[in-house]
Amino acid sequence: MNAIRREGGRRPHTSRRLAFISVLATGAGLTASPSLAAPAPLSFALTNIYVPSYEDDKACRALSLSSSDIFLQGLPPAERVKYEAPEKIQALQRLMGDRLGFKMVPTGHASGANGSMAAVPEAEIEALRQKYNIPKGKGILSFLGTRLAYDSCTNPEDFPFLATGNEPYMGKVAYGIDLDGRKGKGDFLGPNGERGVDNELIRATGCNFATRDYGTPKVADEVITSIGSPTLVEITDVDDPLNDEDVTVHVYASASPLEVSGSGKGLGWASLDVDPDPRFQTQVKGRISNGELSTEPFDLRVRLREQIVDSYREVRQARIRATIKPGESIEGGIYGYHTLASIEEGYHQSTQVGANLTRMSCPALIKSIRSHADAFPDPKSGRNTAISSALRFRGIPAFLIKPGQKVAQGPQQ
Amino acid sequence: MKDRTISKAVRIGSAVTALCAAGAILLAGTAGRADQPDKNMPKLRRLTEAQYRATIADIFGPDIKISGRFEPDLRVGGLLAAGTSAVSLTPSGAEQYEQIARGIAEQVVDNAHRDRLVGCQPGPADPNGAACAGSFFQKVGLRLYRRPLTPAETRLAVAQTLASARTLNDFHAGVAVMLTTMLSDLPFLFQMDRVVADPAHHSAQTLDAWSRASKLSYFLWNSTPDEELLNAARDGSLMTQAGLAQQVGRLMASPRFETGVTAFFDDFLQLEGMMSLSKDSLIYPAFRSSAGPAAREQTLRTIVTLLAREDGDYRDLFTTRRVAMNRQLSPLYRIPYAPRDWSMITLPDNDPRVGLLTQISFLSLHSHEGRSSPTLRGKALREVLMCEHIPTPPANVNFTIVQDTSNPNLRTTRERLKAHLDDEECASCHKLTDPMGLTLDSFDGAGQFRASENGMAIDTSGSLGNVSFPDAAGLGKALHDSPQVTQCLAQSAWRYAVGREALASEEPVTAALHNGFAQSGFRIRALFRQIATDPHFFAATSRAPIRTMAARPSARKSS
Repeated sequence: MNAIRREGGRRPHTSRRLAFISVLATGAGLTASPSLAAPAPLSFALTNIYVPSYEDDKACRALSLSSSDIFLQGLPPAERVKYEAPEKIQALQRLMGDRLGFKMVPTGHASGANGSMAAVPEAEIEALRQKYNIPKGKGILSFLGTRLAYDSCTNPEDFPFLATGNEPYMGKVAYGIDLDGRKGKGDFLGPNGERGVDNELIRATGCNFATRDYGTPKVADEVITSIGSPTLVEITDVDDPLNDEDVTVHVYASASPLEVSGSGKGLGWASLDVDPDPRFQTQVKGRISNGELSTEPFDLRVRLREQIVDSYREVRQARIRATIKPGESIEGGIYGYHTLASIEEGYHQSTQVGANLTRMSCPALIKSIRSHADAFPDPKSGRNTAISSALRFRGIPAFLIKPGQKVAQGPQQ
Repeated sequence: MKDRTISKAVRIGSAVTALCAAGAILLAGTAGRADQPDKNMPKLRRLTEAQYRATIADIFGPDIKISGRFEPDLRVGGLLAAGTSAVSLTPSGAEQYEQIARGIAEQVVDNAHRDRLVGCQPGPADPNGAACAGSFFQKVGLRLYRRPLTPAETRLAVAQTLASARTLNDFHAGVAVMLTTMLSDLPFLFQMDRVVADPAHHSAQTLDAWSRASKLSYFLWNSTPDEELLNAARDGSLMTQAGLAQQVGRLMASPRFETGVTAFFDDFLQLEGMMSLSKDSLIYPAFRSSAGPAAREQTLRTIVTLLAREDGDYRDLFTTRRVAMNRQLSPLYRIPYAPRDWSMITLPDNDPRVGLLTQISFLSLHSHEGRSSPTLRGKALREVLMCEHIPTPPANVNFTIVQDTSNPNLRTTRERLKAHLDDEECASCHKLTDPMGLTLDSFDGAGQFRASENGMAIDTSGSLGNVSFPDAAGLGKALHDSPQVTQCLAQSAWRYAVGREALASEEPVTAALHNGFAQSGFRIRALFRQIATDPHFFAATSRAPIRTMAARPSARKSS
């Protein structure tokens, strides 16, 4: 790119947006760009990133129960009759909140910049606990720090009776790659017949409503995720954008929200600021062969910031496999082991509000994920701390503005 | 009295306002007497919406909210300013102005503003508030009418205020009623040219000092005269060439001169159309609803920076690679842009964009909703920048060929237009527009660059008169070198300043303006200064037949 000198559709429905939390936890309309004299930079903003669910009607015996389903089952028969009609769902959820002591109280703080979590002093949080009878040390900041919540998602350990009713995923096919190099009997087949696919996260949570309904590429590819802080991918050291044995792939979080086009999709060629937070900056060596990018394994964090959530997903031993169309798009997956801590952080922040909207039970899902975790055992307890999975993504061209950089390209005039 | 009560009182007072209308007309009719005008009727120019808003902000402060719908402005000869002397006040328009005025008056006298803006109230020494009302309306009347109220007008204003106050049982409500009346009145809504005998030329006439102050201020600042300019009118110095030059120099040295330059180019380039410009979001998803206003601002910021702030050559607007940029627009230009706010950038040497014509504003404004239009772009070049007139197409023209962008046999706009031009009647006008417009067809209907259309490389060759060029940069150079372009600018600035079409008798004036413009190196500051100090700017307008440059046969020859 030559020097530029500086002087001096449809918006997704709320529940669908929220579903990305559970889709992640459980599972662009840009026209062809003309090329200017200089080659287009290989930098992209990921507009859609989610745990993809393979479309298979026979993979689940039934959908997993939501927390309100489980709560309803526990009511006395006379009361159950009163609340079991579908149109009574909100009344049932209110009853559950009242009976189980769920809390959602204002902190008096506004959310942080660009939809980030507000900083609320611990002393204020403790005062709120006392004022609203929230158990000591319980509850978390939610809704970007504007609320303090206590419920079955923020503190699933307090509601073990809701940790039931999760249906195992029994399909044979799942998205992903062979992460461990072993073609085990329990491994999945990939959508194109690849053997040895490791994706225990789908096995653990693949029958959740949100996963089945919103997690298929057919649906999720049309819903922008993490609009408040999209993941940015930049490929440097590129001699040939279609074939290069030695490139460097950088993954960042954006400090700017994703720009949206007039048709409701991600806006290509926007200038987005790279977040200076080193936890969201990583790089790895890779190669491009016939436009297909692949990287070495590396650890990364993907930020998830949208509506009520400012969370992240930590992926260990991640590998990127993607198809690049320079100046047009990037599409592929991040395959690796998701840490349980980051998955559960997402559930916590979703709160019971998110659980109700996406018909899930946080305690049941967390229990299932822990039991299916298959990597990175804790040295002391021996329990696995991560679970194999896949993230599918789509991206559009973007200009990345690095911290402290006056202009993305070229000197300042 | 509580604000809510005042609001109610002013609504009740609208009946009184209606009674005041007779007084208002009286005020208008008597306006010139204090300055002993000529017996000719005063010339009127209605304030534009921008001028109205700026005037209220200057008089009462920017925190006074102005809400309501304004009478639409009329574009005459390519300029809204030239239409200001051709529009009147319709009954519904008068009603709208009164509603707007009422909203302003309510705020001026409310608890939050009355101490600062009214500054007095009835008291032991002024039991009914007559002295307070007299003082207030003398002070505000000067700013609103842009001349002092006559003693009779002041007496009328005080009497009306007190009568309304008695009826409404509240002094400030009475003030609001009278203020509403004045804000709805002709001397406020219209600039008035009042003529007096020209002290420099016996038997000739010129504008009085107050009218001069208004013309200068609205021309150079697009707002009402400030205290210092009114003082220069009061002490008579504006009637001397030295005093006039001193005030013009002061007004042009102010940062507010940039507002005046902005207003002129906004009008000249017809950029108000950008505010409601929409594109097909499926074809041009990057052209969001914010793109039109941002592109308008981009062009105006670029012009003000280059011409007003840096005193650059007007012609360089067509060849410069410098442009104001922000993050809303940078995606349409497909360039990285780091600052969070506007700044000037210089595009790379190999960037296909050069000059004003390749900015999003011109390209998108003169296109269709879902496709580019060399014809509309060429027409705008001829009419806006060269002051020519291109006839509108006959009603029965068949546009099917040019509209079918998916025709596999006619893949580019050039090919489709060529097929359309088989009709000789159409060809005669398209020959004027298309050779220039096709040069810009490497930019789509949203102003985005494209090297090809439907897989075919776009041919951007074109011509202007005898000058041929390969691309938009060549077109910019041709316009840069065209005397007709600078003549058009000088003539348009004159028509903008006087607020009407040019008169046949003014051809020597506009010719002299262009000469001066050329001698200055085509500096807009020099042109505006020349207009603002030209005695013809303040001459009593004759009623000679109007003939514009656009009607001159010679205007076509250079194309």
